[in-house]
Amino acid sequence: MNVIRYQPPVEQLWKKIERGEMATLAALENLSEWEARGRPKNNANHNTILTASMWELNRLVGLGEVKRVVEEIKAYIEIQQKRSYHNLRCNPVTLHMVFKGNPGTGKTTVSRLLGRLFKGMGVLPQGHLVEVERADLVGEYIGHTAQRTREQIRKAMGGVLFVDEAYSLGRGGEKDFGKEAIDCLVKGMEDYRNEFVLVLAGYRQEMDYFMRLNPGLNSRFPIQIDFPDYTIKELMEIAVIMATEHHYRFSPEAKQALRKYLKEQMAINAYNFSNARLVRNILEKTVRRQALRLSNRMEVTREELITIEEYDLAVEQA
Amino acid sequence: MNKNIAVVGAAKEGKTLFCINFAEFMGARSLCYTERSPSGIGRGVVSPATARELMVDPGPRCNGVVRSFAVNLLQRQPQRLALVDTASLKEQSPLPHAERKKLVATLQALREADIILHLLDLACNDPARIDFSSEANRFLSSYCLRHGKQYLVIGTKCDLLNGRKGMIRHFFSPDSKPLFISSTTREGFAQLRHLLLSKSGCFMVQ
Repeated sequence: MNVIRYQPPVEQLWKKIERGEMATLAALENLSEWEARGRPKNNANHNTILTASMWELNRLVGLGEVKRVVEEIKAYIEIQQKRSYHNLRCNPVTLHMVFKGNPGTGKTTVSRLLGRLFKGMGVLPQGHLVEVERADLVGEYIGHTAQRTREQIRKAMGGVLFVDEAYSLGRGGEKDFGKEAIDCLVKGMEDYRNEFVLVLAGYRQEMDYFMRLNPGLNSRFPIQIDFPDYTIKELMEIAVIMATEHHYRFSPEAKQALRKYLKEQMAINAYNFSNARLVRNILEKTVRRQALRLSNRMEVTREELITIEEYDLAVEQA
Repeated sequence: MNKNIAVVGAAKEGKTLFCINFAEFMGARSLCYTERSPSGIGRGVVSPATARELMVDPGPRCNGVVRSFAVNLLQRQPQRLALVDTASLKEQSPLPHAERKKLVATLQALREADIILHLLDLACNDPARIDFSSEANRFLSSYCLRHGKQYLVIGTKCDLLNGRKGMIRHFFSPDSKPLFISSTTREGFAQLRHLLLSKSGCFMVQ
């Protein structure tokens, strides 16, 4: 009877080297990965993070395409990990992404969730989010930009580096330091391709123009996700969820007024409409106005503390 | 507490001479060494002068084995540093048969190490070798980052250097901070000792 003896994964790496299947640099590059295969992972903890992140993602209103792409990435990583376990050839997983969409469409929220999701899958060790913009990357004199950009990359090691309004790096012309920041980010992506995930985010049209201006970028970002504007129905759903989370409830009149206001705003600011962020701002101001209204009363019931009336809606200044 | 310090690098970077001279600099009057070779494990004690004669290229016992030198440090709690002189990293692909086992032994030494010192010959002018070392540096720094090991890039033979430090800095990744030493003149040894002792938490050397 043939007995298949178990070999620890790192022993399998030694055998591969001894058979001449791996040269020095490849062996150095793969040493971490082979060691990791042999180390028992805290699967329970990782699974909890993964399940919680997926639940949180699915709980977000709308974002159908985003959820579909994230499911695809998740499935792809899982299958690559299974293939790797069975010693099958694996394609390198490049997870750098471009997020295109108007403000308030959930780009930062999804990035934060992706960090945790990748941590849950064992792709990133920390899964934290480092959020930066042009001012955090671009320096004031020659050499300063590279230093600042590398510093941000260093902070994002093991997590996600989220560059908001990334298109602004490419709009200063040839002599602008923004280009140096892009070069430095690209070098960081190549040097530490498995150590962090870079997400470039910004308005749809500006990002498209930015990617066209830098032809090397498109091929380096295989995942490009479009964040569409929310519909009125979805925004109302977001408003109700946000209110419920803080133990508030809209009266039917308040709901109607809010819907009307959102429709008007969407028509006026079709280009700059700030989606869920606008809803959040309205709600924050509304809660303050309700507090002011109720503070003048001698007695307040529980129902009154919960209910937001049409009068409370801070729609005119939001 | 004992600390394993793996000294790694391509061929002719000066690893063995560095290990012997640095062990001597740290106060070792005789060198206790352990060799790990394909034929087995060997141990011995030699003086630094004999070690230089026998083990440094082109000496008779310069055979590319992984050799560990023990250095005892005197402090409140006695401490031992093991300077592990690894086999040279070779860039041929596929590797010659004899080199494969040496590479395995080197990787095993890297896994066991707490601190990895990557040596680079500052006097080297061969672009292919510099590229190879630069790539190796990238993988090693990434490996150390993942596994919580201390990593230090050391430029050797700085006595032969004429204004090339800037060039070498250019080839290394931005996060690595190269330290320049000369095993012959012992320049930079004091700085390295300070770095290693602060990393290993000891404060006095025999």
